[in-house]
Amino acid sequence: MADEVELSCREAARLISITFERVLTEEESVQLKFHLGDCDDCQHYEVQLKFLHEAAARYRR
Amino acid sequence: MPSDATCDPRSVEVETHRSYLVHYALAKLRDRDEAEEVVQEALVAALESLPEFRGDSSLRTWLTSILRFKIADHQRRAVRDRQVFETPPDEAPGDESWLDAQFDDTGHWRESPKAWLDPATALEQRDFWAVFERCLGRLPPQGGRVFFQREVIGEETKAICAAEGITESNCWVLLHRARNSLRACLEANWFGSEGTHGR
Repeated sequence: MADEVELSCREAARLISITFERVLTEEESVQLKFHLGDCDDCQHYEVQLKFLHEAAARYRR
Repeated sequence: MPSDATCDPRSVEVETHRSYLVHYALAKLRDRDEAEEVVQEALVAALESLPEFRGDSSLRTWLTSILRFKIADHQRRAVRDRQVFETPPDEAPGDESWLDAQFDDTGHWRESPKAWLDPATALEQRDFWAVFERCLGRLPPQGGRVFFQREVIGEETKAICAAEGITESNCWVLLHRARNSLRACLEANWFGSEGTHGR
């Protein structure tokens, strides 16, 4: 049963951050995909966290 | 401190890694004075054995492995010297009220994350790394330690949380907060000010 409640940016941002720690549940990942579909702000945020992740790993070398 | 022990040109390069090493030690030792002391010991040891460094790994990797020995030494000594451990300052890791500064009551961004211009190029610029280090240094102590161990060193969250004595979900909150602070700091000091960097 899919939960139709839409994520806020606040919740979406939390999920994006958590993707670096664990695999999202199916429900979480559907909700996140749906939110990212029409939210430029959170799309930018996601790209930026991936960049941070890469930069931090690069900083080690 | 001038060192006449070596005229190896790489001894100059060793010094350029000091700030990274201090961040590394700080993530493990929690105390800036101790961290700087241990890094100093490691750098002295490194300069002495520099002739043995063959460049199979990067200089930074090599220095880090020396530092790790020094940190382990230091921790063993600390256990011997100190019966009672101070409890780390309580930063209420589960507290999420800081999010209120970033999101309004309806959960929307108060300030929209902007598209960053050419982030791949930033990674190649020395000035960018100076900003990155400054931003790392501005993180609150516990969040900074957790972020460094997780994202820079690449350790497992579970082990990091256990060492910090906090639950895994509180660890995630700390990491989330650290990521948010870093991205905001980089946006304000590098990506936001178009044309003021990368001369």
